Amino acid sequence: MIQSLTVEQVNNMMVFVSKNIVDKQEELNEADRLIGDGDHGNSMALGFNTVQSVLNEKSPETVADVFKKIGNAFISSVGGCAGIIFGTFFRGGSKAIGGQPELNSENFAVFLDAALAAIIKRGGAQAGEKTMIDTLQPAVKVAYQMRSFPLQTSLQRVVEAAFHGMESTKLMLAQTGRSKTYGKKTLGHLDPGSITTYLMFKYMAEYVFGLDKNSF
Amino acid sequence: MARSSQIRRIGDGNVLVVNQIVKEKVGILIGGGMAAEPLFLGYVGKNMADCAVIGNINAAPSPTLILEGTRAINQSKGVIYIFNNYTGDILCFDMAEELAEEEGIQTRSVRVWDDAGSAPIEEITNRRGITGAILVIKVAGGASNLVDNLEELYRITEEARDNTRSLIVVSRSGHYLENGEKMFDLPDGQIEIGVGLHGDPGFMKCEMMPVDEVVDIMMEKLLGELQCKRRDEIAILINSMGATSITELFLVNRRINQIASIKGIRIHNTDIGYFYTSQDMVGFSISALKLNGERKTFFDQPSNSFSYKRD
Repeated sequence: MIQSLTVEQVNNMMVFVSKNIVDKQEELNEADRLIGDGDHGNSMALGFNTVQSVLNEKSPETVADVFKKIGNAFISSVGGCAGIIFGTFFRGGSKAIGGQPELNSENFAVFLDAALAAIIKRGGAQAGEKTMIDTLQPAVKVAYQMRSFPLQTSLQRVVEAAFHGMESTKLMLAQTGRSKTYGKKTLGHLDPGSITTYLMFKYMAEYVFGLDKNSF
Repeated sequence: MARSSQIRRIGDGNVLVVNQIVKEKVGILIGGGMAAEPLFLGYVGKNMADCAVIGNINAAPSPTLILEGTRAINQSKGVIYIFNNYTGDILCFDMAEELAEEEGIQTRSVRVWDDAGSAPIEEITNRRGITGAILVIKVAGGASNLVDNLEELYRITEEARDNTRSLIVVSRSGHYLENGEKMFDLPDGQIEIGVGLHGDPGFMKCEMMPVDEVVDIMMEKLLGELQCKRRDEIAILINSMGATSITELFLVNRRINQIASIKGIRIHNTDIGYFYTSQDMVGFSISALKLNGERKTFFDQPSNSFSYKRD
C-alpha cells in the first residue's frame, strides 16, 4: 500500500498524467464539439505537452513546486479560459501546501480544496452549472473524509467520486462560458472540463497503483 | 504604426507602450481582443494609457502578455488595468494581477460596464463594456499625470466608469474578417438599440425610424441613468460602428444638442468619429460621461494618441 509520494514521484506521476491526457486529445475535442467550439482537446494537449517539457527540464524541490510549474505552464501556453482555469487550479492548490517534501492524503485534500476555491473565485461559476466544479466538489469532499488513509486508498475513492461528479454533468444545462449559448442542446452531454478533471485523477491513481507491487 | 515616434512594441506579442514613460507615475494599462479597432491600441499616448495589450481576434490578451506590459510601465507606483467587462478579459486580467503581485507590483482593475442596453441597472456588473471605455481612459490618463497615488487614481477611474453610459444602435450587421460571414441577423428595415458588438441582444428591436427619434430614446436612457439635471455638465462621444458616415453622425450630434439645450444640460465636449468599430457594421453609439470639478480637470488634459487627440 502506497502511503505517500516523494517529490520525484509526484513529478513522474504528473508526467504520466500529462502523457495520457495528451493521448485523449481527439476524444476531448469530440466531447467539446457537442456543446462548445470543439477545441478543448487541443487546449489540453497544448497545456499538458508544455507541462511534460517543464517537468522533464529540472527537478522541483517541493510538491508545491511541481504543481506551481504545471499551473504556470498552462497559463503561458494555453490561450483562453481553459488555460487560465487549469492554471488557476494548480497554482491555487500549490499555494496551500507550502514547502512539503511529500504528497500524502492529508495535503492532497488541502491541495484539492484550495484548488477548487481558487477556480470558483476566479471563474465565478457555482456547482450545478455544468463545469469542472461539479466533478471537483465531490472529489474534494471524499479526499477530506479519506485524509487519515494511505494516499493510494484516498485516490481510489477520489476517482470514484470524480466519476460520479462527471456523470452528473450530463443532466445539467450549461450556464457559463461559451457553451451557455448552446442552452438545452447541452443536456445529455458531459462537460469536457469535467472529463479532463476525472482523467487527471484516474491517471494519478493508475500511477500510484503501479508503484504498489502487491496490487495485482 | 504611424506614430512610432511615440509608441513602440515590446516582445513578440501585441504589447504597445509609450516611448517615454514619465517617471514616478502610476501606470495605465488597457487591453482586450482584436477587431474593435481602434480600441484599444489607438489610445496609448500622452495623458492616455501607457500601454495597450491586445489579444487575438475577439480573444482576451493572455496574462503573460499583460504581465509583460505591466513590467514595462511600472514605476514602483503600481499599475491600473482598464478593460471591458467580458468573461475572458476578466479571467486574464485577474490572473495577471496575481502574477504581478508575486513580483511585488501593485495593481488595481477597473472593469468598464457602460453598455446600458445589455442588462438592467440592478445587474450593472453584468453589463458589457463598449465605447465608454475611451472616456474612462481619457479621465484616468489625464489624472495619472496629476495624481501619483495608486488608490487615489483607482478611485478616480472607478468614479469615471460609474458616471459613464453608452448605447449602440444598429441597422445592419458587420461581416467577420476571417470568413466574410454576417455576424448576426437583423432583417432589412429593422434596427436594434442596445445591441453589442457582435449582435449580442439589446433592449429594443423595432422598425427603422427617423434618426431624431432614435437619438431621443437613447439619450433618455443615458441621461436618465446618469441622473443628469439642469446645469450638469457632460462629455459626449459619438462613434460610427464602421459603415455609418461622419455626415450621419453630425445628424446625431445635432439632435443631442437640441435635447441638451431643452433640458438645460451643458455639453462640455463632443468627440465625433471612429473610436470603436465592428468591421462594416451600420450603426452608431453614443457615450455620455457626467463631469464634476475634478473629472473635468482630468478630462481636459491635452492628450495625444493615435485615435484621440486634444490640445
